[in-house]
Amino acid sequence: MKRVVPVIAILAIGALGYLTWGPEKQVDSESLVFVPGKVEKKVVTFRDDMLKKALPEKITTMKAYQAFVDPTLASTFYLRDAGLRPKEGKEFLSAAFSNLKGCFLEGCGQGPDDEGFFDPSLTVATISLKRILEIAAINPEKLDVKEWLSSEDLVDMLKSTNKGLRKAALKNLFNMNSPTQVFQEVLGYSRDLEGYSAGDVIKELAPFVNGNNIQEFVDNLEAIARVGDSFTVTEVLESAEGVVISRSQGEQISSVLCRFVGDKKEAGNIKAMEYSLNNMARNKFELKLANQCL
Amino acid sequence: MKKPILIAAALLSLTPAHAVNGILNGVMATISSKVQIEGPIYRHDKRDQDRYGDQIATIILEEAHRQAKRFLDEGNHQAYNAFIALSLTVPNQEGLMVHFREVDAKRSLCNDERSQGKNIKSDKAKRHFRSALNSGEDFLVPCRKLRREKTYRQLIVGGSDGSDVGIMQVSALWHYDEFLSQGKFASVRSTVRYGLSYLMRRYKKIVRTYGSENCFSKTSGSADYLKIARGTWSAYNGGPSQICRFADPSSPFAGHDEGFKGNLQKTLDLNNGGYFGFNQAGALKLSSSVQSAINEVITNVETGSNNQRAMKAIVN
Repeated sequence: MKRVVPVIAILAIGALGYLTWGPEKQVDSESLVFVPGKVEKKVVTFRDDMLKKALPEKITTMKAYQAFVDPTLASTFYLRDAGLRPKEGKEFLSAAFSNLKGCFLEGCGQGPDDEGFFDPSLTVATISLKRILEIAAINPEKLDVKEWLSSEDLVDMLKSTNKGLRKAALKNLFNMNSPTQVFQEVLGYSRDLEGYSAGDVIKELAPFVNGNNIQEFVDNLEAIARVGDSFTVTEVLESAEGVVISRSQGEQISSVLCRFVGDKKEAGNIKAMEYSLNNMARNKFELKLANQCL
Repeated sequence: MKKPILIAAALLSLTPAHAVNGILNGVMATISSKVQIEGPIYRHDKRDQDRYGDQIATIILEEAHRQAKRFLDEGNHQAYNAFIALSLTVPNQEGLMVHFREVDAKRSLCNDERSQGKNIKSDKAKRHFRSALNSGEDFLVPCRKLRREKTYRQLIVGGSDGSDVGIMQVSALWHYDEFLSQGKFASVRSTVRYGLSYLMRRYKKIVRTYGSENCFSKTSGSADYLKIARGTWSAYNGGPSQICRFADPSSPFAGHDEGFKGNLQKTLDLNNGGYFGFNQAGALKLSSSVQSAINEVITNVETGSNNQRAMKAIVN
């Protein structure tokens, strides 16, 4: 009789365990996604390894560094969850930024892997800069970002092939300057950018276009359309689709696109450009490059 | 994302259906019974295996459409259809159309070395793999933690050094922050979405600039979208600078690119009695609606037509 209780208990625990962890729970759920848990055992990541080579030892021994390379610590809660004083965070982030900003475009020493794969947008330096700027954008006052981030440096980051880094750089620019200042400075700079980088900048600036600056914006689109390659032009026009233009502004932009018309290799891009321009026209008029360029 | 399970893929065309599962035995790592996963699970020779082909194909078609719809809106249906065909090929090339598998809980089917990334050649990749999959709340677990299970759920890992993860073979080394550390591998759809998004960034740039390269044009000067698809995969496999690698027979990776060409041809054969999945004997069944959508896309690619009726029924 005495043995019944433990047997029942064992069965009950077993049944509970089965119900909890058993295969029935392994359904093809559409709503459940695994999130890696807090790292309990110290695992050295490649990021840690690479940064230790790229940064001075003084920086990599800081508590703020350990939190920075912890992959489970989201940028959003960097200061809070790592229990860092803003001063500690600022000291580390500013030093790391200063060391990485000059070499990130070349990978800061990181080259192709054993299989020859290399993607500059995914190097440790680029991803780390993105993380630094994300943290800075979330805590601009606490981290005194104006003391260690310059607009010039941030504008340089817009050249990166990593979309997230470009976005974080722009967010800091808007935090540090008035929208009008950023609009003018970055709009002018966008002429020096290419492809996705140019498109991303225009997309971020488009919401700030108003009656006072739309002509400046259109002039800039025209400038890019005049000299940019077809990839840059299509990206920029696609990114500007949120802006409504007049017929004359549409004609102003399309007039410089005639250089692409008639080139068989640009046929698909012509369609893309027309699609974007007509989106900007909001169906009030139709722009057909073949007609514009007679 | 860069090292397809090429050896396995090469063997697949020669092997009977049961051997397909045997090949999977060599590339699957066992998942903790405590973590939740999302998406279709491949169950070899089980009754519900019949549903798997439709489920995985639908996810791929939906996510590919999501990425490529812009081309359709622009009126460039060739670019749209070729991207869908490319998207149907890459998961076959990279992950044999399998992300998760479930098998009976036999000890021989549980491999600690694989689950713990012990054989990963690159220390760098091993660190990332373990950080994402073996730390904290473990996703992949040692076999001893699964003694009472009736079945094992497994995740495909592999590549030439064992560190690539999932149906899109996302590299643990390069995609740690954007993919692994965010746990996207726990969802088939998230994995497919991530891989296709990475693919699209290369594809779109090539579509826009093909005229400035000498490896993507037909003799007439127009775009050869099948070459663009091959170049996109070369870049997926070797990095953004490798877009014309497929056209270089002396490349050290020419074998990889030829393997992809073969799998692309398998996709193109789908509207002509071809099979969906690993090999003829292990073909995954498709419902008539999904098969029609795929046939429609392939016919569009081959003939330059733009029929969308069957595809719309799937993706809308």
